[in-house]
Amino acid sequence: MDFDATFDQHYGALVRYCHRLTGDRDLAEDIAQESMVRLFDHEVSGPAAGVRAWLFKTATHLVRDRYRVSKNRLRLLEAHPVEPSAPESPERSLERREARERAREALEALPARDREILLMRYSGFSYKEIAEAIEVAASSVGTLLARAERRFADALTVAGNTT
Amino acid sequence: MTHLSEGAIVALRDGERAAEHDLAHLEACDACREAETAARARSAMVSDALALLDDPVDTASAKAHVRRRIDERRSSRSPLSWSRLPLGRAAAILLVTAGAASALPGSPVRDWWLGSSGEPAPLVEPATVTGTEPPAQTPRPTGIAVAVPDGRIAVVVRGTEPGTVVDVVWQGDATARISAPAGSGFTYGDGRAEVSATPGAIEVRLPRSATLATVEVEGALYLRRSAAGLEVLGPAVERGDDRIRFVTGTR
Repeated sequence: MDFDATFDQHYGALVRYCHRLTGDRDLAEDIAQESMVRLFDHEVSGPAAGVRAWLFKTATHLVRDRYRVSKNRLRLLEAHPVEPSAPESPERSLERREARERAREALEALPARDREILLMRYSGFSYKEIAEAIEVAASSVGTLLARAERRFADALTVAGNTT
Repeated sequence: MTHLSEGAIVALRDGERAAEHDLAHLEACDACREAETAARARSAMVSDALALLDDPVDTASAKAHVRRRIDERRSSRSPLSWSRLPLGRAAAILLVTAGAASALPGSPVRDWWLGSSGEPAPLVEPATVTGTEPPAQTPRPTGIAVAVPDGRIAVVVRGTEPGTVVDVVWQGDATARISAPAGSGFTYGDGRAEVSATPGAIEVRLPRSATLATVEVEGALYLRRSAAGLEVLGPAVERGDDRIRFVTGTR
């Protein structure tokens, strides 16, 4: 497996997934890098889609393990302010920060499995891949995803009403 | 009439379920069609909200770090690895070898040990064995292909610098393909792709068959193609039948 090509193809999406999942950028990078190290250390090979599924599944398990050990769920609520690449007005910057905070709070309000399903789907995974990674029946992914989306949307509305 | 479940509607929306009877029901049932429209709207809202959480990713330094860690793990498994020897034995072997070598007149170890002034050279931390660094390479662009369900595709590009070339190309392929410089990140699902770009040119290849295609760069709509025709709204510097070139920040 080509190290550079594999890394370029999967690392960015993996960090984003872990960041969305944990709310902690440093932890997300640690977990994404550990997943990559394990991928090459275990000499996992196969089609790109299979490698991607393996990486995300490994990262999901690492996140679960970290939380099991630390129980530090509050980290999810830590704010990571957006650093815009172009200058924007203070009002726009504040709006963006608040919207980001609401999204994070809404995500934190979900049960862990709902969060994982939602984030995997919005990272582009098929239902079959999600089922394998989250260890649920493929036939139930639609139902679980619908529920996760609805809960997330409701939590987003609640977060919007309380800020 | 039994309506489709919420899960079935979401699966249909995502192109994960295509049973004839479900599709027929959706066609005939106003309530289920309404539910599907609501599910699509919710999906767009979820996608937009999640995208707010993303930051640009520094792939290059992470790659170097991971490569180092892999090399370290592999070297630590080597049968003659220093790290597997008890420290005392390793130090003893090193000293005995150095001592023997330094006893030889003209030995480079003797020169190192005594230093040019004849004094013992200061001790330094032993270098970590990290394996061979790879030769410098030109970073290769990275890219994705995204399914275009129902002929709809929305591409969002972020993180560009002023002067970035963004080419939009119309192609015969039924998928959308986006390539960006190495280190760029992608978030994508059916009908939607978001790019967090590192500096360099970006190419967005869109299917000619798309019925609704949009390209947004840094929050500005550059291009929209719908049943009403093609609207070029961004800073286009070249425009052909198959390719439109935009350069960010030129208008």
